[in-house]
Amino acid sequence: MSIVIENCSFVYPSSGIGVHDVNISADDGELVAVIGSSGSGKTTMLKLVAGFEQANSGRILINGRDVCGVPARLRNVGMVFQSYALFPLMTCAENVAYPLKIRKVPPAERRRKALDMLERVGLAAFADRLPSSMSGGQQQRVALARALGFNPDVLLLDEPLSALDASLRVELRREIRRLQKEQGITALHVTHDQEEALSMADKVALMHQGRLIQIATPQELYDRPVNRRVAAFVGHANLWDGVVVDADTVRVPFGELRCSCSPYVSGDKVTVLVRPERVMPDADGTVNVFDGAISADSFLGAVRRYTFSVGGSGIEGETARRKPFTRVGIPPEAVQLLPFEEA
Amino acid sequence: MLVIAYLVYIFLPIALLLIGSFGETWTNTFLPTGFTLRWYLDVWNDPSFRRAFIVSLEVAVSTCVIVTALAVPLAYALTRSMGKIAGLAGRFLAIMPIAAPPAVLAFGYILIFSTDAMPYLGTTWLIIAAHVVSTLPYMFQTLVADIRHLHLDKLELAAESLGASFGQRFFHIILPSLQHSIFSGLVVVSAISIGEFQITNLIAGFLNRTYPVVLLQSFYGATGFACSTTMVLLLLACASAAGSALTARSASRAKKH
Repeated sequence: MSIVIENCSFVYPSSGIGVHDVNISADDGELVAVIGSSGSGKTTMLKLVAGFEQANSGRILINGRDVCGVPARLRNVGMVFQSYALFPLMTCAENVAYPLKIRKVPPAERRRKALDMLERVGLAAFADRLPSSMSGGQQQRVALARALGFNPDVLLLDEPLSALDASLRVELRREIRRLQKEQGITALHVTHDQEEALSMADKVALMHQGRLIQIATPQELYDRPVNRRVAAFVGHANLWDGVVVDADTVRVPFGELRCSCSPYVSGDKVTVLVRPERVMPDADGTVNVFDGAISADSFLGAVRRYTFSVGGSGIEGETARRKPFTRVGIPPEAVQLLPFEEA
Repeated sequence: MLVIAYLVYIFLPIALLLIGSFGETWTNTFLPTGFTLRWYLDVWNDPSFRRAFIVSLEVAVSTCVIVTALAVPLAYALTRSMGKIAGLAGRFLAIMPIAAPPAVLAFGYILIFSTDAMPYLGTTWLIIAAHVVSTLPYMFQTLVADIRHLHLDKLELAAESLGASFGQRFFHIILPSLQHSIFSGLVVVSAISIGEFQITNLIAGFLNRTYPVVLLQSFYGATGFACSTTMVLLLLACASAAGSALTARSASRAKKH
């Protein structure tokens, strides 16, 4: 089963915002995370796939079948909502069995399947409890069991972890990923939490103002962002305005950095990206080494995040090193040039 | 202290009515003298009171059924379509029958339904229609508040994604979720319908006057008789509220299983 979103556009008639010409595809058994700030159109994208909204143009293929115009209830899509959306008057087992009831599965068999599904999310003992008597994490597990229990073609996750505590979130991330892999189901996961996306997904699609900016594996998205926005959204980043001096040098506000400037040529304005963990405290050598002082310092346990001031500019860095230092180095291969964009 | 004073203020007249309905004579004294069941027997034996009692029950039950049948889909539809016009229509519907003085509504009915084209003045159906108009807002508002509070739109989307058709969503999710507000709405609707006097007094025919309308006559007779007829109205209102509440409950239970 696969999901292919082809040149999809949709505009909300009331507000005029929506999504424009979006292309996202998820291959069989893949989990694709769609991330972006609020208003980026990521939830709209999910609604289009679920069938809650119908695209104005473009196609949406679920397992090769064009589902545009097909009502939501006939799309055979499992969906998990941020607010759990469990039916409050039904027990957990009844909730999980509900889609089977709709599909006219006999009562005994749907009860058995529901219990089996609850077992898989570790909640068999809660089968006859009402959702209101359970914690948020448990409710979301039931919702997950309900969304997967009727063998849907694809799984859609609409910010499923946003309403949960941080520690629970990490636990449920693994649980969702485990179940998704076990079932081998293709999933589309909308979230505003980039860490969640990077840690769970096979591919991550970043949206901004209704447009898809980049879709790539988490590593590629982090290591080779296509522009300033992606670099800033995914992980921490030093982003400086720069001007290419020659093929190996770019000028940034606090000096000159040696790096490979291809394909840019002398005089081009660029955005210079350096990830904080690539900045080396107390660096040896003479290339890209800067003297200055630590101006901000926060200890985060495993790492220490600091701002190193060089001539009025700041270099963000991350290190495990506890001792003070007055010099940092930036390896040339850590410097990336992106198309120039105003901050 | 204030609460006690308030409770006394509410319950003292009812207590005096109760005492008065069993008192043999009550003239110029704080409490009646003697004990009798005569007044209740008189009410029971009076054909106009008996008929009015039955008409009141018929009207109240019919009003409850029609109001539920109208208000549930209406409240649902209006909360679903968030358009400005729908919202305005909803607010209008919710406020207008309460804001308009009953006499205005009644004169409207008299004007319209005494014509040759629509000669329905004096029929029980017109009384029911008038009660539906006056009580619909109470049920409607309770339902709208509950639909919003329960986030039924989210539950419906979930049911839709699980494959449920509109009918299945309505009967499996929406209606059971609304059982409590239908229940409390019906208590109010039946109590108002049983007690409604102003409009009914102006539009009822001689043979289908409701209980409160006939009750007015008893005030011209003996005090004990007036007290007992009023106590019967109070009982009728309580019984009808309890009855409609219980019906709503058992209906929603039956639907669930």
